[in-house]
Amino acid sequence: MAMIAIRNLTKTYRRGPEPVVACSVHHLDIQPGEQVALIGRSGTGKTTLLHLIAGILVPDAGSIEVDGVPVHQLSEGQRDRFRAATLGLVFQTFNLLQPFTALENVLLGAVFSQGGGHGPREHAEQLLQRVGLGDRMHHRPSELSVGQQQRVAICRALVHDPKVVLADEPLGNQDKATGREVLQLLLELAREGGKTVVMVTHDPESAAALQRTVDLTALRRAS
Amino acid sequence: MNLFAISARSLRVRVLSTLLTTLSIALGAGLLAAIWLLMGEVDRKYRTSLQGYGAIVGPKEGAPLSLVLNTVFNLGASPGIVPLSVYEEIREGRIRFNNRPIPVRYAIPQARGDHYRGFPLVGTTDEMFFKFTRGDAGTLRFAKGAPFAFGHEELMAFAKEKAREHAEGGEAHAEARPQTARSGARPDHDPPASAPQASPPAHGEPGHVHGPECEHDHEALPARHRQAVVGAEVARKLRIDLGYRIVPMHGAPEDPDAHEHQEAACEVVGILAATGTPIDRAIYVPLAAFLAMDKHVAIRPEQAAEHGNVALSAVVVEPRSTIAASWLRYAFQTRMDGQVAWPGIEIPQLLSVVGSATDVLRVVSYVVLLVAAIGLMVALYNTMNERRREIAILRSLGARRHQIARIVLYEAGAIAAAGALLGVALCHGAAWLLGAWVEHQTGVAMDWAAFSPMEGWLILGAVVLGCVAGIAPAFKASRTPVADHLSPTT
Ligand SMILES: Nc1ncnc2c1ncn2[C@@H]1O[C@H](COP(=O)(O)OP(=O)(O)OP(=O)(O)O)[C@@H](O)[C@H]1O
Ligand SMILES: [Mg+2]
Repeated sequence: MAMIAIRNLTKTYRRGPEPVVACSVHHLDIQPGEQVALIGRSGTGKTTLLHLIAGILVPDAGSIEVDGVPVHQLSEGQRDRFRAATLGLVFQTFNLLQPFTALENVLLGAVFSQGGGHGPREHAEQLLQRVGLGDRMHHRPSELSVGQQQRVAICRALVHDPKVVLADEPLGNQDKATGREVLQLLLELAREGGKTVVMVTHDPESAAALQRTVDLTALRRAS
Repeated sequence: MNLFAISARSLRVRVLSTLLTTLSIALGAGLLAAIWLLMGEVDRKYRTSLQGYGAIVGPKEGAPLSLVLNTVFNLGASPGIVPLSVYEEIREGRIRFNNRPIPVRYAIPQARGDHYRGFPLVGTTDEMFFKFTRGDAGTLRFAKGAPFAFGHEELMAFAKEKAREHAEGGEAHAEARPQTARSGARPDHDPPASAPQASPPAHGEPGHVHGPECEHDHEALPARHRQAVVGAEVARKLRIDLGYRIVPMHGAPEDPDAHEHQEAACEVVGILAATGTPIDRAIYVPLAAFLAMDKHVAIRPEQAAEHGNVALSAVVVEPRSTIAASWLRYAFQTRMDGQVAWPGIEIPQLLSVVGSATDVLRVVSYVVLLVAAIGLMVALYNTMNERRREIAILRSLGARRHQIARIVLYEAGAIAAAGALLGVALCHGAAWLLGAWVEHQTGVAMDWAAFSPMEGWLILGAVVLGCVAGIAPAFKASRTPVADHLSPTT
C-alpha cells in the first residue's frame, strides 16, 4: 500500500476575478521509504501540494491518503494531530523560532506529538550531534549560519520520528556546496529511519540525488 | 518544552511590552492592596484601641465623640469636668435604674489636661492596672516595675482632705483671689472671661490656666503618691527607665510662662508592655499627684465643699452586660451632672464618614486595575499581527488551535499574576519604607508583613481578569491562517 496516495486532487483559489487552480493532481502514489523530488515551474502548485498533504490546506475535490489516513476527510483538529504525529516539515526559510535555542527548536517538533518527557530531549541531542551541531545546541538561530539553521530544521522535522518528511526547497537559500551537504544529511537520516521523503526543488542536480522525480507541470497537464 | 515554556519565551522576547503591562497591572493591584492594608490597620487599630473602654462617663457639656477621642485616643482637650460623686455612685453601684443597681465590672476615674514632653498625663487610680481589661488581652501588663500605690480608698481619703482644706481655705481667700479658686477648680479649663485678673497670662495650651500666684504645696503630697507608670512608647521615645523623675511641664518649653510642676514630680515605678494602642503614649500618675499640680485640685467655689465635688475628666466604665449598658444609658439621660459616651458607637460612626472617602479610593483602584487589564488586552492583541508567522510555524508543527489560544492565555495570566504579585509586594515594600512616616503622620502603625487573605484573592482575581483580557487576543491567535504565513513574504 502506498504511503501517500493522491487521486483527482484540485485546489482552487477564488479570491481574484479569475479562479486560480493552484494545484491539480490526477494520480500520484508514493511508496513507503521512497525519496521523491517534486519539480515543476514556478506557480505549478508544488508548495500547495505539500500543504495539502500536510493537511494545512484542504482540497476542493479529490482524496489524499497518507499512511492510510484520509487527510481530506479529517477535521481541523484531527489534521493538526495527524500532522504532529506523522509528518515532519522542512521549509526553504527554515522557519525556526528566534526566541528558542537550536535544541529548543528541535524539541518544539515533539511538543505537539507526544508532549514533553525526557525521550525527545535525548533524541534531539543525538540528532544535533549527528548533524554536527553538538557544540551549538544552546545557540539561537540568529547565531547560526544558514546551513546550520537548515540542519536544525531537519532535526526538528525528524525528532518525533515521523513517517513522512515534506521539504519545500530546503536548499534554496544556500550555496551549492552547503546545499549538497545538507541534502546528503537529510536523505541519509531519512533513509536510516525508513522515512518517506517528498522534496520540492528547482535544482536538477539535487533532484537526481533522490530515487524518483515527479514533474508537477506534467502531472498538471495530464489531469 | 511545553506550552508554558513557549508562553514564557514569547513574553521574554517582548520584554518592554511585558514589563509595561505588568507594571500597569501592578499599579492597580498595589493601590488596591495598599488601601486594604491601610484600612485593615486603621480598623484593627481602632478596634484594639477601644478595648476596655465600654462606656465613658464624662461632663454633660461637649459632644460624646470628643469625650471618646479625648479619653481613648488622647486627642483634643477634655470637654469639661465630671464630679467625683458620679464616679463613686457608679463604682459603688449606687446609680440605679428602675430601682436596680447597674452592675459594672469597673469604673475607673481619670483626669487629663497636662502633658509631659508631648505625652499626655492621666491622673487615675491603680484600678487602671488591676481592673481595666482589654478584651482577650486582659489587664495591662507591665514590661518593668509595678503599678503605683494609689487606690480607690486613697482617692477617697485625698478627696475628703481636699474638701476640708477647701472649706477652711476657700473662705479665707475667696475675696482676695477669686480667680485662683475658680481656675483651681477645673482640671482642664479656662477661667471665665469675666474673672478679674491683673495680668492675663498667655498660655500655649488652651484649656489650662494658672494664676500668676501659683501656690505650690510640696508638703501636702506624700512620696508614695508621687509615682508614675508610663506607656511603652513613652518609655521608648523618652528613654525612660524605672526611677526616672517626671516633672510635668506646663506650656511649651519656649513659652515664657512655661513652668515645671515640681510639686507633682513623680518617680517612674512601672513601664507598661506595648499594647499597640494610645495607652502606649500615656503617662499614668495617681489622681492625687495630678490634682496636686497647681490648682488642678478641687472643688468649684459655687459647689458645696464636699469630697464628691472633686473634679474628674472622665470615668471609664465597663458595664457587666448589654442590659447593664442600656440601663446606664437611661440612667444618664435624666442626669444633669454627666453623660455617657459609647466608644463602640462613636468611633465606627466616625470611621464610616472616613470610609466613604476610602470607598472612592477603592473604586478608583478597581478602575485602575480594569484599565490595566484593557491595556493588557490591547497590547497582546496588537502583537498578534507580528506573531502570525510564529503561530503558523507552531501550527505547522502540529499545534492545535486551542493550544495556540492557551499559549496566549497563559501569557495574559502570567502578566496579570506577575503584576498582582508585584503590586502586593510594592504595597508591602512601601509599607515597610513609609511605615514610620505614616505612623508619625496619622498614628496608624502599619505592619508591613501583615499579608491578608484578601491579597490572595486579589492575585487570583487579577489572574482571572488577565485571562479574560487574554480571550480576544487568544481567539485572534487561534484564527491565524497557517498556509499564508509560513513564508516570510506575507
Ligand atoms: N493564498 C492564495 N491565494 C490565491 N492564489 C494562491 C494562493 N496561494 C497560492 N496561490 C496560487 O497558486 C499557484 C500555486 O502556488 P504555489 O505556491 O503552490 O506554487 P509553487 O509551485 O510552490 O511555486 P514556487 O516554485 O514559486 O514556489 C500560484 O499560481 C499562486 O499564485
Ligand atoms: Mg513554492
